[in-house]
Amino acid sequence: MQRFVVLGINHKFAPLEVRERFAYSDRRLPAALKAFREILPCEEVVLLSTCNRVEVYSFTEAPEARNRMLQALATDQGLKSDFLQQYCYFHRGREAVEHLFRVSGGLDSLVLGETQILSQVKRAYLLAQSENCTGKALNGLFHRAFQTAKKMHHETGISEGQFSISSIAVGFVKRVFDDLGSKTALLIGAGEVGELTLTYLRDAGVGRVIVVSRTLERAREVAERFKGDAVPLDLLHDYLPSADIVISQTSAEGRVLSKADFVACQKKRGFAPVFALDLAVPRDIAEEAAEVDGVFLYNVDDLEQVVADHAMERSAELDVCRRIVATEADSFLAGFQAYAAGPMIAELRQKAASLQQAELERLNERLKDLPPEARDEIARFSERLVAKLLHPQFQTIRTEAAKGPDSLRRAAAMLGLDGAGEAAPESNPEQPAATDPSPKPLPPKA
Amino acid sequence: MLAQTFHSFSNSAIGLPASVALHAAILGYLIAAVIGIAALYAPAKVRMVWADWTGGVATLALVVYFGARVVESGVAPLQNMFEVVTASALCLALAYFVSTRLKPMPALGGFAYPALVGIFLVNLMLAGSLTGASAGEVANPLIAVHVLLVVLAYGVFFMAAVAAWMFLIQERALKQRRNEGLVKHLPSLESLRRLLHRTVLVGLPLLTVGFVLGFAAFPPSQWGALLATPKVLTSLVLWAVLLAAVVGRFTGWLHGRRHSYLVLLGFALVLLTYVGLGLFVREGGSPRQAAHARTDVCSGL
Repeated sequence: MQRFVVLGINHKFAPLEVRERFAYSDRRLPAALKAFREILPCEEVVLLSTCNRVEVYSFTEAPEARNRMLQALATDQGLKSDFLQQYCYFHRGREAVEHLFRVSGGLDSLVLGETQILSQVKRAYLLAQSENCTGKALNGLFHRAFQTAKKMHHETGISEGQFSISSIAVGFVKRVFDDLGSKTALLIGAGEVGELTLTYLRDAGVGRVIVVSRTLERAREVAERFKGDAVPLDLLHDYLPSADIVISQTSAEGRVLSKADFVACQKKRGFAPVFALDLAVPRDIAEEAAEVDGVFLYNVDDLEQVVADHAMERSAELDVCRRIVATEADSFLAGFQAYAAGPMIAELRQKAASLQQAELERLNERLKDLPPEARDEIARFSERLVAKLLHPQFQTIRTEAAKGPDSLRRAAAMLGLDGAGEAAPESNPEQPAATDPSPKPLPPKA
Repeated sequence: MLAQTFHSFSNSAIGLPASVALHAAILGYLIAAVIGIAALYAPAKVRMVWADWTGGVATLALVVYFGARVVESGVAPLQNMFEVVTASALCLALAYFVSTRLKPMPALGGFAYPALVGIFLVNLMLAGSLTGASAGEVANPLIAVHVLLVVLAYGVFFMAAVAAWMFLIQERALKQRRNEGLVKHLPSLESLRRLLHRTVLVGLPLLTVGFVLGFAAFPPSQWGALLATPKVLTSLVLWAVLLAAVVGRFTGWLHGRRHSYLVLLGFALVLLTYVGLGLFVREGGSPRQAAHARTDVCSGL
């Protein structure tokens, strides 16, 4: 159980300026997964990178998993681990399991109860699976996380109402414009949240949609869905002045639009209002663009206060979700412990089979005149006897395994077995609680 | 003092039905203003439509007042300054109802009704000086139309100032990414920008024509004396400021917050002209008094 670990940074502990330095673009993820597997070392690793978090989930026996993961993340991003340490959190065992359940259910999200994170977690898991970076442990964990998230969404009202980043952003858009029918929305890049925002805008009646993407094919594909126009990225600056709403979510490493771009654009527009929504991490639009008259620039962090208000409104649902997370974690860990008893059962069965075989051979030596039919009957008798004798032992092992690794070890000792299944210690060997350098949550925005 | 002024004016100058209707109208606007402001801050508990209903009843009472005055006097109900200003308030109220019917802007009532109450308060404060001395003056139809247009223009500029104020609040809140309290219920930035522009565009011609008629009511020989009065000077500065707001908006060098600030400056000049000078610069402050004084001096020579 203690081999489940997670290390990460999120919007609660790291500001956007820090998060954008750690974000992984889609094309960098496969290489990063392999690097983590080598450095930890481990067989199973999943890397989740969204605009609000970067998290590494692993199932590893490495006793210094935290330091190694920290080092791996820092090396991969070309930063010092000391710098990273002040923003990173690390969970092991049950805490790691509960953390993944909370993340998948949107309880740890900027927008409480949002459902987009679930698809992002699924995508991260599928990518790791396609790269052969998952095994029985993480497969089981992630599948249970998906079930738990669905349970929370179905059994509580945590995801009800218009509380996604996209819908909140559209709320702000409506405070700038009243007649969306005469407005043009420009989508730069083709991220999931960006497209969802565009869907909300379309539903709100936005007049024209322009999709700009690095590849014209991709732009056309998205534009077709919204009955809009597709434009290659090279022509972005030509189309910018015609846009009243700009949504940007590219995976570019640097800024796509600068303050100077907006100054030039606003001069052409007669300083009519422009709503710019930067959903990208790292950010696409220079922060200074917000200083331009008529430009209202928002990024994912800017929605935090609004989200906090909604979180307050749904605190009762939150309690129910927390109980679901705890129950599901209990159930998963109990099941996983039983599963962890597998090697011990196999070892016991192996021992019994060896003994049975040895005794059969000795008997055959002594009773050479026995006909083959009789020999076969004796063999079948011995198998049935061993199976019946072992059955209560197997039951005991499974029961003890469900109680925890200590019980399992005691059972192994009683039965004279070497393996103890999941035999990692309960306490975190490299991280004493008293000296745990957990990051401090960011203060609320004024 | 205010109540005394109001009572002495209404009791002595008008009959009972007109007095009751006027009281009802002013009380109605006062209640509508309170409801309107409450609806701005707590829209979940208080609805702007209640303010509109109350304001509608008040406007109806105002129409009854003018009807009663026609019956009483047998002539058009614009016999003194009080009535001219009251007629302007009625026009403003009707403009509010028509515009909100054409383009619903729920928050506007929270500003329009206090504006109407403000006009009545100022009107009542100045009523003592308006009823007697000016009764004969408004017999000149040019002066009556001049006052009507200028007060109407001031009312429109009040709306512009309110729009500018709301624009500044909304713009600041959006820049600061705030989404709580009053700002959530304000009209969109775009509609405020449009309202601001249109009100100035409507108000400026009203003011211009009003000024021209005001000058036309006097012989050219008295124009020099008129221009020397503080009220006319301030009015001309106001006119120049509003002209700059319109030109600046059209040419593109004035936009956003700067445009709003200039409109607010214009409204500050309205207050100075309409209220400040009216209250504190009685002697020689009025263009009519100044013009008459100059005529007396001239005839004396």
